[in-house]
Amino acid sequence: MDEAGIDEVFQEVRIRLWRTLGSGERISGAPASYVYRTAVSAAIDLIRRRRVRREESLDERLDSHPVTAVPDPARRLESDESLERLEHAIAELIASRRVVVRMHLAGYHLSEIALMLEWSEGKTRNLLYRGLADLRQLLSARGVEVDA
Amino acid sequence: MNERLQRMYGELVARRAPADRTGCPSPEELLRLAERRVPEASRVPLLDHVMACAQCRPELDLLRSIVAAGERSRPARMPMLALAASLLVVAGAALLWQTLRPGRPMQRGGGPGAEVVLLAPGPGAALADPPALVWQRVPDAIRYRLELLDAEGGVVARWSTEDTATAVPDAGVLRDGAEYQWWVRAVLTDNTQRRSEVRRFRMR
Repeated sequence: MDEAGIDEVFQEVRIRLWRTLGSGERISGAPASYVYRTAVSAAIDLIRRRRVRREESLDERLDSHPVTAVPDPARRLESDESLERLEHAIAELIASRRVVVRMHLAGYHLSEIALMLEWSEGKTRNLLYRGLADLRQLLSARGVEVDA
Repeated sequence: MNERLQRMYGELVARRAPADRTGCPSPEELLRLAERRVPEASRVPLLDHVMACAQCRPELDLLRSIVAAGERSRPARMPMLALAASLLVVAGAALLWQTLRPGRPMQRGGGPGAEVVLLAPGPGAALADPPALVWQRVPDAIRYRLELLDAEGGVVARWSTEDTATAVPDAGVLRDGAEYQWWVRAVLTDNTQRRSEVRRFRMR
Protein backbone atom coordinates (compact mmCIF):
# COMPACT_ATOMS: atom_id res chain seq x y z
CA MET A 1 0.00 0.00 0.00
CA ASP A 2 1.42 3.38 -1.00
CA GLU A 3 1.13 6.71 0.83
CA ALA A 4 -2.12 7.43 -1.00
CA GLY A 5 -3.47 4.11 0.21
CA ILE A 6 -2.58 4.93 3.80
CA ASP A 7 -4.44 8.22 3.53
CA GLU A 8 -7.35 6.36 1.96
CA VAL A 9 -7.83 4.17 5.04
CA PHE A 10 -7.11 7.03 7.38
CA GLN A 11 -9.67 9.30 5.81
CA GLU A 12 -12.30 6.64 5.25
CA VAL A 13 -12.89 6.05 8.96
CA ARG A 14 -13.05 9.75 9.71
CA ILE A 15 -15.41 10.48 6.83
CA ARG A 16 -17.75 7.66 7.84
CA LEU A 17 -17.89 8.90 11.42
CA TRP A 18 -18.47 12.49 10.38
CA ARG A 19 -21.15 11.49 7.88
CA THR A 20 -23.00 9.39 10.41
CA LEU A 21 -22.52 11.45 13.53
CA GLY A 22 -22.16 14.90 12.03
CA SER A 23 -20.29 16.71 14.76
CA GLY A 24 -17.19 16.37 16.89
CA GLU A 25 -19.35 16.38 19.99
CA ARG A 26 -21.43 13.45 18.83
CA ILE A 27 -18.29 11.59 17.74
CA SER A 28 -16.90 12.17 21.22
CA GLY A 29 -20.00 10.54 22.65
CA ALA A 30 -20.00 7.59 20.26
CA PRO A 31 -19.45 4.22 21.88
CA ALA A 32 -16.00 2.72 21.34
CA SER A 33 -17.69 -0.38 19.88
CA TYR A 34 -19.25 1.79 17.14
CA VAL A 35 -15.91 3.36 16.29
CA TYR A 36 -14.40 -0.11 16.18
CA ARG A 37 -17.06 -1.45 13.80
CA THR A 38 -16.54 1.57 11.56
CA ALA A 39 -12.79 0.96 11.39
CA VAL A 40 -13.32 -2.75 10.69
CA SER A 41 -15.87 -2.05 7.99
CA ALA A 42 -13.59 0.51 6.33
CA ALA A 43 -10.73 -1.99 6.33
CA ILE A 44 -12.90 -4.78 4.88
CA ASP A 45 -14.08 -2.46 2.12
CA LEU A 46 -10.50 -1.42 1.39
CA ILE A 47 -9.40 -5.07 1.13
CA ARG A 48 -12.29 -5.80 -1.23
CA ARG A 49 -11.50 -2.78 -3.40
CA ARG A 50 -7.85 -3.75 -3.62
CA ARG A 51 -8.71 -7.32 -4.57
CA VAL A 52 -10.99 -6.10 -7.36
CA ARG A 53 -8.39 -3.59 -8.59
CA ARG A 54 -5.74 -6.31 -8.64
CA GLU A 55 -8.00 -8.65 -10.63
CA GLU A 56 -8.91 -5.92 -13.09
CA SER A 57 -5.31 -4.94 -13.62
CA LEU A 58 -4.36 -8.60 -14.04
CA ASP A 59 -7.14 -9.08 -16.60
CA GLU A 60 -5.93 -6.03 -18.50
CA ARG A 61 -2.37 -7.29 -18.50
CA LEU A 62 -3.43 -10.77 -19.63
CA ASP A 63 -5.58 -9.29 -22.40
CA SER A 64 -2.76 -7.20 -23.77
CA HIS A 65 0.22 -9.44 -22.95
CA PRO A 66 -0.42 -13.09 -22.13
CA VAL A 67 2.68 -13.35 -19.94
CA THR A 68 3.94 -15.72 -17.31
CA ALA A 69 5.16 -14.28 -14.01
CA VAL A 70 8.78 -13.23 -14.17
CA PRO A 71 10.11 -12.36 -10.73
CA ASP A 72 12.41 -9.40 -10.38
CA PRO A 73 15.97 -10.75 -10.95
CA ALA A 74 17.26 -8.60 -8.07
CA ARG A 75 15.06 -10.58 -5.71
CA ARG A 76 16.18 -13.98 -6.90
CA LEU A 77 18.70 -14.53 -4.13
CA GLU A 78 17.91 -18.22 -3.80
CA SER A 79 17.80 -20.78 -6.57
CA ASP A 80 14.45 -22.15 -7.69
CA GLU A 81 15.67 -25.55 -6.62
CA SER A 82 16.42 -24.49 -3.03
CA LEU A 83 13.05 -22.81 -2.70
CA GLU A 84 11.26 -25.82 -4.12
CA ARG A 85 13.03 -28.04 -1.61
CA LEU A 86 12.04 -25.70 1.20
CA GLU A 87 8.46 -25.70 -0.02
CA HIS A 88 8.32 -29.49 -0.09
CA ALA A 89 10.03 -29.82 3.29
CA ILE A 90 7.52 -27.44 4.91
CA ALA A 91 4.65 -29.31 3.28
CA GLU A 92 5.86 -32.52 4.92
CA LEU A 93 5.67 -31.11 8.45
CA ILE A 94 2.82 -32.14 10.74
CA ALA A 95 0.03 -29.55 10.36
CA SER A 96 0.28 -28.14 13.91
CA ARG A 97 4.07 -27.75 13.60
CA ARG A 98 3.87 -26.48 10.03
CA VAL A 99 1.59 -23.55 10.83
CA VAL A 100 3.81 -22.47 13.74
CA VAL A 101 6.95 -22.78 11.60
CA ARG A 102 5.35 -20.77 8.80
CA MET A 103 4.37 -18.01 11.21
CA HIS A 104 7.83 -17.97 12.73
CA LEU A 105 9.46 -17.81 9.29
CA ALA A 106 7.06 -15.02 8.35
CA GLY A 107 8.51 -13.02 11.24
CA TYR A 108 5.88 -13.32 13.96
CA HIS A 109 6.89 -13.49 17.60
CA LEU A 110 6.10 -16.50 19.73
CA SER A 111 3.54 -14.50 21.74
CA GLU A 112 1.77 -13.37 18.55
CA ILE A 113 1.75 -16.93 17.19
CA ALA A 114 0.30 -18.28 20.43
CA LEU A 115 -2.33 -15.53 20.48
CA MET A 116 -3.43 -16.12 16.90
CA LEU A 117 -3.61 -19.87 17.33
CA GLU A 118 -5.14 -19.54 20.81
CA TRP A 119 -2.59 -21.94 22.21
CA SER A 120 -0.44 -21.52 25.31
CA GLU A 121 3.04 -20.12 24.75
CA GLY A 122 4.48 -23.36 26.15
CA LYS A 123 2.65 -25.49 23.60
CA THR A 124 3.53 -23.09 20.80
CA ARG A 125 7.21 -22.98 21.77
CA ASN A 126 7.32 -26.77 21.86
CA LEU A 127 5.70 -27.09 18.42
CA LEU A 128 8.05 -24.47 17.00
CA TYR A 129 11.12 -26.15 18.45
CA ARG A 130 10.10 -29.53 17.10
CA GLY A 131 8.92 -28.11 13.78
CA LEU A 132 12.22 -26.33 13.16
CA ALA A 133 14.17 -29.47 14.08
CA ASP A 134 12.06 -31.49 11.62
CA LEU A 135 12.53 -28.86 8.96
CA ARG A 136 16.29 -28.80 9.46
CA GLN A 137 16.39 -32.57 9.11
CA LEU A 138 14.18 -32.61 6.01
CA LEU A 139 16.24 -29.90 4.35
CA SER A 140 19.49 -31.58 5.21
CA ALA A 141 18.21 -34.82 3.64
CA ARG A 142 17.50 -32.78 0.50
CA GLY A 143 20.99 -31.31 0.46
CA VAL A 144 19.99 -27.84 1.70
CA GLU A 145 22.17 -26.71 4.59
CA VAL A 146 20.86 -23.74 6.49
CA ASP A 147 22.88 -23.88 9.71
CA ALA A 148 25.88 -21.91 8.50
CA MET B 1 19.65 -20.99 10.51
CA ASN B 2 16.65 -18.78 11.06
CA GLU B 3 17.93 -15.75 9.23
CA ARG B 4 18.57 -17.58 5.98
CA LEU B 5 15.44 -19.66 6.37
CA GLN B 6 13.35 -16.58 6.96
CA ARG B 7 14.85 -14.93 3.90
CA MET B 8 14.26 -18.05 1.82
CA TYR B 9 10.71 -18.29 3.09
CA GLY B 10 10.03 -14.64 2.28
CA GLU B 11 11.30 -15.21 -1.24
CA LEU B 12 9.29 -18.40 -1.61
CA VAL B 13 6.06 -16.71 -0.52
CA ALA B 14 6.71 -13.75 -2.81
CA ARG B 15 7.36 -15.99 -5.81
CA ARG B 16 4.27 -18.09 -5.14
CA ALA B 17 1.95 -15.10 -4.79
CA PRO B 18 -1.37 -16.24 -6.27
CA ALA B 19 -2.43 -14.55 -9.48
CA ASP B 20 -6.10 -14.88 -8.60
CA ARG B 21 -7.67 -15.01 -5.18
CA THR B 22 -10.27 -17.72 -5.70
CA GLY B 23 -8.50 -20.00 -3.23
CA CYS B 24 -8.07 -17.27 -0.63
CA PRO B 25 -10.32 -16.72 2.39
CA SER B 26 -12.82 -13.88 2.13
CA PRO B 27 -12.15 -10.61 4.01
CA GLU B 28 -14.89 -11.65 6.47
CA GLU B 29 -13.13 -14.96 7.16
CA LEU B 30 -9.91 -13.05 7.76
CA LEU B 31 -11.78 -10.80 10.17
CA ARG B 32 -13.14 -13.80 12.08
CA LEU B 33 -9.59 -15.09 12.28
CA ALA B 34 -8.32 -11.73 13.56
CA GLU B 35 -11.13 -11.61 16.12
CA ARG B 36 -10.32 -15.18 17.16
CA ARG B 37 -13.79 -16.44 16.30
CA VAL B 38 -12.68 -19.42 14.18
CA PRO B 39 -12.80 -22.94 15.64
CA GLU B 40 -9.41 -24.61 15.98
CA ALA B 41 -10.15 -27.20 13.29
CA SER B 42 -10.51 -24.40 10.71
CA ARG B 43 -8.06 -21.98 12.30
CA VAL B 44 -4.94 -24.06 11.65
CA PRO B 45 -5.51 -24.64 7.90
CA LEU B 46 -6.69 -21.05 7.47
CA LEU B 47 -3.55 -19.63 9.09
CA ASP B 48 -1.46 -22.13 7.16
CA HIS B 49 -2.82 -20.62 3.94
CA VAL B 50 -2.50 -17.02 5.10
CA MET B 51 1.13 -17.47 6.13
CA ALA B 52 1.95 -18.94 2.73
CA CYS B 53 0.06 -16.26 0.78
CA ALA B 54 1.72 -12.94 0.00
CA GLN B 55 -1.71 -11.38 -0.58
CA CYS B 56 -3.61 -12.64 2.47
CA ARG B 57 -0.98 -11.98 5.12
CA PRO B 58 -0.91 -8.18 4.94
CA GLU B 59 -4.71 -8.20 4.86
CA LEU B 60 -4.84 -10.24 8.05
CA ASP B 61 -2.23 -7.96 9.66
CA LEU B 62 -4.35 -4.94 8.84
CA LEU B 63 -7.43 -6.49 10.46
CA ARG B 64 -5.47 -7.78 13.46
CA SER B 65 -4.14 -4.29 14.11
CA ILE B 66 -7.66 -2.87 14.18
CA VAL B 67 -8.90 -5.67 16.42
CA ALA B 68 -5.98 -5.05 18.80
CA ALA B 69 -6.76 -1.30 18.87
CA GLY B 70 -10.40 -2.09 19.60
CA GLU B 71 -9.48 -4.41 22.46
CA ARG B 72 -7.14 -1.80 23.95
CA SER B 73 -9.69 1.00 23.77
CA ARG B 74 -12.68 -0.97 25.12
CA PRO B 75 -12.20 -0.34 28.86
CA ALA B 76 -11.10 3.25 28.37
CA ARG B 77 -14.58 4.69 27.63
CA MET B 78 -12.89 7.41 25.63
CA PRO B 79 -14.21 7.07 22.09
CA MET B 80 -12.17 9.89 20.63
CA LEU B 81 -9.01 8.31 21.89
CA ALA B 82 -10.32 4.98 20.70
CA LEU B 83 -10.81 6.55 17.29
CA ALA B 84 -7.33 8.00 17.36
CA ALA B 85 -5.94 4.64 18.37
CA SER B 86 -7.84 2.90 15.60
CA LEU B 87 -6.73 5.42 13.03
CA LEU B 88 -3.15 5.29 14.17
CA VAL B 89 -3.11 1.55 14.17
CA VAL B 90 -4.72 1.47 10.76
CA ALA B 91 -1.95 3.78 9.57
CA GLY B 92 0.60 1.53 11.21
CA ALA B 93 -0.95 -1.53 9.65
CA ALA B 94 -1.02 0.19 6.31
CA LEU B 95 2.68 0.83 6.64
CA LEU B 96 3.07 -2.79 7.57
CA TRP B 97 1.08 -3.69 4.49
CA GLN B 98 3.33 -1.50 2.41
CA THR B 99 6.52 -2.91 3.83
CA LEU B 100 5.37 -6.53 3.68
CA ARG B 101 4.80 -6.38 -0.05
CA PRO B 102 7.15 -8.69 -1.93
CA GLY B 103 10.49 -6.98 -2.07
CA ARG B 104 9.81 -4.84 1.00
CA PRO B 105 10.41 -7.18 3.96
CA MET B 106 9.71 -5.76 7.39
CA GLN B 107 11.66 -6.80 10.43
CA ARG B 108 9.72 -7.45 13.58
CA GLY B 109 10.85 -7.30 17.16
CA GLY B 110 9.87 -6.12 20.61
CA GLY B 111 6.13 -5.93 21.27
CA PRO B 112 3.52 -5.68 18.56
CA GLY B 113 4.86 -2.86 16.44
CA ALA B 114 7.20 -1.54 19.15
CA GLU B 115 10.67 -1.83 17.69
CA VAL B 116 12.03 1.67 18.10
CA VAL B 117 12.31 2.48 21.80
CA LEU B 118 11.06 5.96 22.68
CA LEU B 119 12.93 7.66 25.52
CA ALA B 120 11.47 11.13 26.04
CA PRO B 121 9.09 12.68 26.78
CA GLY B 122 7.68 9.94 29.00
CA PRO B 123 4.21 8.50 28.36
CA GLY B 124 1.47 11.04 29.10
CA ALA B 125 3.92 13.81 30.03
CA ALA B 126 2.43 17.28 30.62
CA LEU B 127 4.82 19.82 29.11
CA ALA B 128 5.19 23.55 29.50
CA ASP B 129 7.59 23.89 26.54
CA PRO B 130 7.80 22.25 23.12
CA PRO B 131 9.35 18.85 23.70
CA ALA B 132 12.62 17.34 22.56
CA LEU B 133 11.61 13.97 21.13
CA VAL B 134 14.24 11.36 21.89
CA TRP B 135 14.51 7.65 21.07
CA GLN B 136 17.05 4.88 21.14
CA ARG B 137 19.35 4.45 18.15
CA VAL B 138 18.38 1.54 15.94
CA PRO B 139 21.40 -0.30 14.49
CA ASP B 140 21.73 0.24 10.72
CA ALA B 141 19.12 2.99 10.66
CA ILE B 142 19.87 5.58 8.00
CA ARG B 143 17.06 7.94 8.94
CA TYR B 144 14.04 8.25 11.14
CA ARG B 145 10.60 9.44 10.07
CA LEU B 146 8.41 11.07 12.65
CA GLU B 147 4.74 11.76 12.76
CA LEU B 148 3.00 14.07 15.20
CA LEU B 149 -0.76 13.69 15.50
CA ASP B 150 -3.49 15.44 17.39
CA ALA B 151 -5.85 13.68 19.79
CA GLU B 152 -8.22 12.80 16.93
CA GLY B 153 -5.46 11.16 14.93
CA GLY B 154 -5.07 14.00 12.44
CA VAL B 155 -1.54 14.54 11.20
CA VAL B 156 -0.04 17.73 12.62
CA ALA B 157 3.48 17.30 11.26
CA ARG B 158 5.62 14.78 9.42
CA TRP B 159 9.37 15.07 9.15
CA SER B 160 12.64 13.08 8.93
CA THR B 161 15.95 13.22 10.70
CA GLU B 162 19.17 11.24 10.81
CA ASP B 163 19.58 11.96 14.52
CA THR B 164 17.92 10.23 17.47
CA ALA B 165 16.58 13.45 18.93
CA THR B 166 14.55 16.17 17.32
CA ALA B 167 12.16 18.98 17.99
CA VAL B 168 8.84 19.63 16.27
CA PRO B 169 9.93 21.66 13.19
CA ASP B 170 7.28 24.34 13.73
CA ALA B 171 6.62 24.57 17.46
CA GLY B 172 3.81 27.02 16.67
CA VAL B 173 1.54 24.09 15.80
CA LEU B 174 1.51 23.01 19.46
CA ARG B 175 -1.43 24.53 21.29
CA ASP B 176 -1.64 24.89 25.05
CA GLY B 177 -3.94 22.37 26.67
CA ALA B 178 -3.96 20.10 23.60
CA GLU B 179 -2.94 16.47 23.57
CA TYR B 180 -0.60 15.06 20.95
CA GLN B 181 0.73 11.70 19.92
CA TRP B 182 3.95 10.86 18.16
CA TRP B 183 5.74 7.86 16.74
CA VAL B 184 8.95 7.09 14.92
CA ARG B 185 9.71 4.85 11.97
CA ALA B 186 13.35 3.84 11.41
CA VAL B 187 14.45 3.19 7.83
CA LEU B 188 17.35 0.74 7.74
CA THR B 189 20.17 0.34 5.23
CA ASP B 190 18.51 -2.75 3.72
CA ASN B 191 15.34 -0.69 3.20
CA THR B 192 13.41 -2.51 5.92
CA GLN B 193 11.64 -0.45 8.56
CA ARG B 194 11.04 -0.58 12.27
CA ARG B 195 8.53 1.43 14.18
CA SER B 196 7.90 2.64 17.69
CA GLU B 197 4.84 2.57 19.85
CA VAL B 198 2.55 5.61 19.67
CA ARG B 199 3.21 7.86 22.66
CA ARG B 200 1.15 10.72 24.05
CA PHE B 201 2.04 14.05 25.60
CA ARG B 202 0.02 17.10 26.56
CA MET B 203 0.90 20.78 26.35
CA ARG B 204 0.04 22.59 29.59
